[in-house]
Amino acid sequence: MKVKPHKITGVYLVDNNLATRGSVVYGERTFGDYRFWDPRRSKLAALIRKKGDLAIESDQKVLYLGAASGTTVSHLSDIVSLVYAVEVSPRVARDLIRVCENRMNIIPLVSDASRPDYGQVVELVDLIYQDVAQKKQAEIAMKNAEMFLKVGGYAFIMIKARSIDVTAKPREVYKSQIKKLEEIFNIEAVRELEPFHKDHAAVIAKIT
Amino acid sequence: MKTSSSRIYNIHLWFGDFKIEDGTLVDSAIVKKNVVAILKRIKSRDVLDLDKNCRNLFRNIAISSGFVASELEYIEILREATLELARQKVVEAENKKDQQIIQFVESIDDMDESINLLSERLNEWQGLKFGHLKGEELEEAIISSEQIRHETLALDFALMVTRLRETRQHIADHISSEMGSFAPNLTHVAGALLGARLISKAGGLNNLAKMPSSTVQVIGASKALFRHLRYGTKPPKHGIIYQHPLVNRSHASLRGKIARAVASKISIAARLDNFSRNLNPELLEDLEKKVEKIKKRSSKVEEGNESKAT
Repeated sequence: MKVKPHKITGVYLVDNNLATRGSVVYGERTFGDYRFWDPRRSKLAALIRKKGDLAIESDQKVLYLGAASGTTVSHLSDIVSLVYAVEVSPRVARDLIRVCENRMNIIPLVSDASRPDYGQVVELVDLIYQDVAQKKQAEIAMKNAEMFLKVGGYAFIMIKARSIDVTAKPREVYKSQIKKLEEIFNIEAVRELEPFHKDHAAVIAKIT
Repeated sequence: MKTSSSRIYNIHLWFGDFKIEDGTLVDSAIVKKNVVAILKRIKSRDVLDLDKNCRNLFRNIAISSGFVASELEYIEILREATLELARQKVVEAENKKDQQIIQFVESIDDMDESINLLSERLNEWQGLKFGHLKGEELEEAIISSEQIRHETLALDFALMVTRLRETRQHIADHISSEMGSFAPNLTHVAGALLGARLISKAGGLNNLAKMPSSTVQVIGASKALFRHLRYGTKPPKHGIIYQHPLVNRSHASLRGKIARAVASKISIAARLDNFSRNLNPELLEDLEKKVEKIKKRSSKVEEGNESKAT
């Protein structure tokens, strides 16, 4: 197998498949200590497939909203220096905790991102990654950005059209969410995540 | 410490209280460096109105106040504390789910009792008019009947019982879906409702997991059990696990043996769910095989007895 480094430091292309380096977490395929990162499973991987030049750096601190069972979090923790991983559902957090037990650079927070109660713990971060699939996700992103995102920092916001309005056309939903986000962000790019994730788009926003 | 502002900040952080003046740490009260003390502090209150610029100073403050020696240690301790807090929150939520399921099961039992009582009343009141229909059939007949239109009280009564039945069904459905995720193995082996009843009688999944399987076998037969212990009558063969189809569809002479096998698998299932919650479908297969064996063995013995007799 051929290994090439990706534009993003810490990300690799193994026979043209995305991968990061670290210990196995959820039964993903591996090659040596390269863990394959399936874009159909992870929206961040899909976004990297769609847009190679993302502002992810190895020395960054990331606030991750909607950590779920921690699959994407685990790959991100291979890349950046620290991940604050917020997940509201205790049931899902069980799996996240298991991931954290094997990684030294994830801070698990079982909390509701729409009512942040982690103000005495989370530092100023370089990046907010959000995958919450909630109606109020733009508001949640803005609230957290105002509290924790450094000036000039980025927010990657994954929008699931169907969690916001099942009846509206996905593109209309993206537009309405972007309009809200423009209140405090400059929108630098929007990428639909087809064919990996249906009716999903990623918004790359820079805080002003 | 670098900050351009000349303001005074009083900061409440997970590792202590600090006062910063002109970017310099002028006063500090650090918390004891152990998880218990840190968690107590995190839970006590939160800061939301902190100036964003201060958020860049957490590690510096921790080092210059002497709380930690390095950034690495800062992250180590924070991670250890938040991991423990996350575990506690998960356990707390699960305990709440236990209590919910118990409420649902008990309300189903209450409703069954009420439905039977009301249904009997309706039967006595209206049954004759409808050719001795009973239960649900009687209710349906009353609701769709033309002549009853004028007797609104009977109609109301029938509608109420129907509505109770519906609600009972909704609760049962809800138990099924909750049990599937809360106790997948127990649900697989015992079924959602029996599994939920066992949790309810035991007072929680954790309690059920701690019970010896011989206790699980007689949960719900406490009268018979104590009669046995006090007066030496025969011990009960089964408690509520009688509701398990493998038990109640078997011949009475085998039920004791089968109940013991069922109880032992239920115990294992409850323990799996309490500690890992990953579904292991082999449990039920094993149990079915074992029950098959018990039945075969007994039929052989019977054949043997018959051949001896002849």
